[in-house]
Amino acid sequence: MNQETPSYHFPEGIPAFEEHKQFRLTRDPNLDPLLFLSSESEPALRFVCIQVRFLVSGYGYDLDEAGASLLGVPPGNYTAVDENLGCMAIISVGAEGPSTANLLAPVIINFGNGLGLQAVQAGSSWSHVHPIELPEAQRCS
Amino acid sequence: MLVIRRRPGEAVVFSGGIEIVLLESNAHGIKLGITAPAEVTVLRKEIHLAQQANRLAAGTAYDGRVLELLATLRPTSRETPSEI
Repeated sequence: MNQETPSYHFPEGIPAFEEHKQFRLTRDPNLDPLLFLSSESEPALRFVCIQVRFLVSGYGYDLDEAGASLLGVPPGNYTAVDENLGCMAIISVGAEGPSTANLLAPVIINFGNGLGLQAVQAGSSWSHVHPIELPEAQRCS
Repeated sequence: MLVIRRRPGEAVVFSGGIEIVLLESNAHGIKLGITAPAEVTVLRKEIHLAQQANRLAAGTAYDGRVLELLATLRPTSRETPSEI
């Protein structure tokens, strides 16, 4: 992933921020493995993210017809290590408790066409408040 | 939790003009029909949770707290990350 990538278009925004359609994903090597997803229209609106593959192993997610269409890919099951689709979790940084990652709704970016989607999963066993403990933490290379 | 058994075509009603009817039930799940005033927001629970999580995440993405998170991710690192 480049240090600073082009803008990505989220046709439906993301839940609770549907009016924000354009996001920039930035990386600071000093802050690996964190990534920052910021709204282009309101840069103060930003989210701390991490690639799911750095957080858990064996993660998979579904893209239904609607979600897949928004990303321009076939519907089906995908994994967090797919090369063409970035799979990130938004982190809530804990003040007193542990920080948590939203694995119920991964942010998926199609690097091929610049489209993005927060793919909220129905019936997933993954939590929207997955505690961040990284016994298997890997650093971005 | 209140548990009510319903068959397809039967409904439950809530105060405020809200009615939920069981339209269909099969091996793949159930289909609900919901009638509610326009000002009532009806969401799938996973969408509601995603909204809550996003609002919380947006409010916690400040530099100081991010650096604290980074310290959690790098418990053995001695380097001090630069400002974002």
